[in-house]
Amino acid sequence: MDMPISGETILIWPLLLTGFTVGVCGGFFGIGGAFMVTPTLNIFGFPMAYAIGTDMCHMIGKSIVSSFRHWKLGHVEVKLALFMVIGTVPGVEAGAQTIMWLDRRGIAGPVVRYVYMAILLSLGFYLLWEVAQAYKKARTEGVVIKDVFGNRLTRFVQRTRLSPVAKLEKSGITLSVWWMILIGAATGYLASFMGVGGGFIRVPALLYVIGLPMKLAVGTDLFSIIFTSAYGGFSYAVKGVVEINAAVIMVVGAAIGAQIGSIATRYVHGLKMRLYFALCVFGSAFGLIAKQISTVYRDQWMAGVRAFLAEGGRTALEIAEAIKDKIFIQSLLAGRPEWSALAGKEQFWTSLAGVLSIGLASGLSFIIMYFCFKGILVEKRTGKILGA
Amino acid sequence: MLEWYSELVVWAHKNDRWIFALITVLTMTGVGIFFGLLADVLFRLTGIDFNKYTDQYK
Repeated sequence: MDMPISGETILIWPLLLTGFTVGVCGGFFGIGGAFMVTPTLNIFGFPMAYAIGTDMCHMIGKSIVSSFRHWKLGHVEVKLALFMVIGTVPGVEAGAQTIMWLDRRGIAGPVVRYVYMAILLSLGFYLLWEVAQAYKKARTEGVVIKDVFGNRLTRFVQRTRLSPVAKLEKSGITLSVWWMILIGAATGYLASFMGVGGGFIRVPALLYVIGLPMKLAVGTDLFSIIFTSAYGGFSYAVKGVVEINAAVIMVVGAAIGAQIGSIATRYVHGLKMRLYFALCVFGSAFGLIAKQISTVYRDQWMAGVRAFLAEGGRTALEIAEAIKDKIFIQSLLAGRPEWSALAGKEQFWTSLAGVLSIGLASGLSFIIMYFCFKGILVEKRTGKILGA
Repeated sequence: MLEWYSELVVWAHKNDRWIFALITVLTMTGVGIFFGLLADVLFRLTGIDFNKYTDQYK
């Protein structure tokens, strides 16, 4: 199918399948799934800017479908989501300003990647530790633990009732509105700083700062993603880097996947969801580590190419133009086996990062589909709701 | 209909990015709402009430 905006020709079924897979994961974990979609679209042949813009737009439709289902299941704290959105906008702008400041010093790329990796790995380990503690307690005390509710930080936040305060309808938590706005701003800042949708940051913030149960954190985050992705999608569309036909095809796949992912949350208790969320976080972190390693190899051979061109008397502007010319670069690499080897290693780690993202999304979506269909079959046969 | 829509999108992308952005966001919102409601209707056929609460958090 021809894409009218970018001029690329893309097959429909990979787009449908990508939308479906990420829809399943998004509906279950409350994430937009940009870390999975963007590299996948890039592999399909979309230029990076179009991949990000198209992903952001398809997220609008997907989050509407998922949050509608979660709302029906009683998993959305509407007030909290809306107050968080108020804080998100200035947070996103502040994050973008920080990136521009770092970019002017030429250190934006590595700083972002290292901060992102540190956050993802610490989150993943904390989630695993918490789940292990809960299972240990369940074994020793012989009780069934469905989810973990709060910690010291949560208790501090819930006790600090700076006026105005709002009572959250589903969880029964009473919380200062300022905390909701502050969390929106902080997560928006981090999401913008790291160039991600924010689900990976917001869901843990809702769990560990506000003390929401896992299912409510997922539903509430998806509801707030409607507004943040609409803002982001609009912004990318104004810049012209959205392939609307591809976004529509992906939304069709995502709409079906998101229903399955959202319904699966009905049959899995919160603790198990945390465990799989930790796997998702780790997968994303390892993908990022692979990407970082590929960048190290790229920097090495690129430094050689730059030095070679500079020795040939080219100006900085001419070097920058020459580097963009893929055929010229390939001919240079062909004549230098050491650069060619480094470029090969770069390609290997880049592909590994992509395979990790796609493999993780596919594996998790199979598990989630299993939970969903098993739950529906058991409920149809026995009337019993698994995980409830 | 689809051809007309594609032409409109390409025209908006070339001539007015704000209209293009508006069409994009409205299209995605429309598709999301359509599929959300469609699924709700289809789920009724399964005989399971997917709209009831499964957990009590308070």
